[in-house]
Amino acid sequence: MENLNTYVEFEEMRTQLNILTEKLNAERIISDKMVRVATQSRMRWLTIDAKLGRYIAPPIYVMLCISFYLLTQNIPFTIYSVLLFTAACIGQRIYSNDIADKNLWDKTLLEIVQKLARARKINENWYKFGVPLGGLWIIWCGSIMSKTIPNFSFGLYIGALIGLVFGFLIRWFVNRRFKSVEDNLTEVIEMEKNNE
Amino acid sequence: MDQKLFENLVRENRSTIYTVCYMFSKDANEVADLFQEVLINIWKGIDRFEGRSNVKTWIYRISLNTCISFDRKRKKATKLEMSANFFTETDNDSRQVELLHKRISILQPFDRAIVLLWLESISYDEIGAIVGISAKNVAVRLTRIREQLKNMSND
Repeated sequence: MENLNTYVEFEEMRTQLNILTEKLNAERIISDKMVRVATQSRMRWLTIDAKLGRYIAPPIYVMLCISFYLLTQNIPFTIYSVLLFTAACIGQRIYSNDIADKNLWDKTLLEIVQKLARARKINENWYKFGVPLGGLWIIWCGSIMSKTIPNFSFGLYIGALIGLVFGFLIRWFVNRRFKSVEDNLTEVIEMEKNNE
Repeated sequence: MDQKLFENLVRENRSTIYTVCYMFSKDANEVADLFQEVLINIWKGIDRFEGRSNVKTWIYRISLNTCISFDRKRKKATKLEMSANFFTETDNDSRQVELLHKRISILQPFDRAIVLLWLESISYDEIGAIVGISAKNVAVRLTRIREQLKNMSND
């Protein structure tokens, strides 16, 4: 076999490659763009969830308020429903403003982390307030409907509770994902600070 | 796969991955994208890695496959104007790196992979195992590549 080491071109190229490797070792591997692309792809489901909540939830809430008023004619329950769903819509709006913001990825990493932290806080509030208040709404709704509707099926009641459990699990998953994305970005920001 | 293990693997082999990516593009953003793509492929394939070859060989194979298929896709797509170079300095080292890039970029992606592995002092057998040809074929191809490079120098 020929000894290729004696070829000038290859010898030169090997030296050049060593220079390149040295230079690359000194380069910062984690580029800002890379972090953004990776984070964006990890957040795809969170963005879809936020957009769905923003556009689909409000008409459903309005429909629920109107139909339950027509069904039960119960003023206190209707007021409670309107207040509860309005608060949910406002929360959802603020949440999706942060997450589904078109310009989110043009901001600095620190600003992105702050937005994510705020969205996570709203998501956590869903546990604190949304679950008990939503649970109360289901119980109240069931008790009124069982009295006012003669053939009221408790299957609907169970269905609503299953929905609440699913909602709880989705929020739990969303919260976990937020936390991990936030932690990763914070790590990168810390690393950047140390490199400066 | 433990995330820490993956991070260690990437940290230990980052210059290997980066060098391969750099051989296929000198645009900083594109290299970052390629690097990211290689990491994703490593992450996807790590559970299937059976340890029959050494880790570095396996990393090379993934990096080269990713870069070669990227190169193929790029040729099909509209060519974009690349402006952001990695090393904008004009010192001798940067000129040498530029020359290396110029030499490498005249080669076909497959030959680029072979010469890169050879420059990294990897044996013919291992190069053959990575790119999927025999050691004898590697030697023949390297001789042809050398001729090509020599002609380029003469031009």
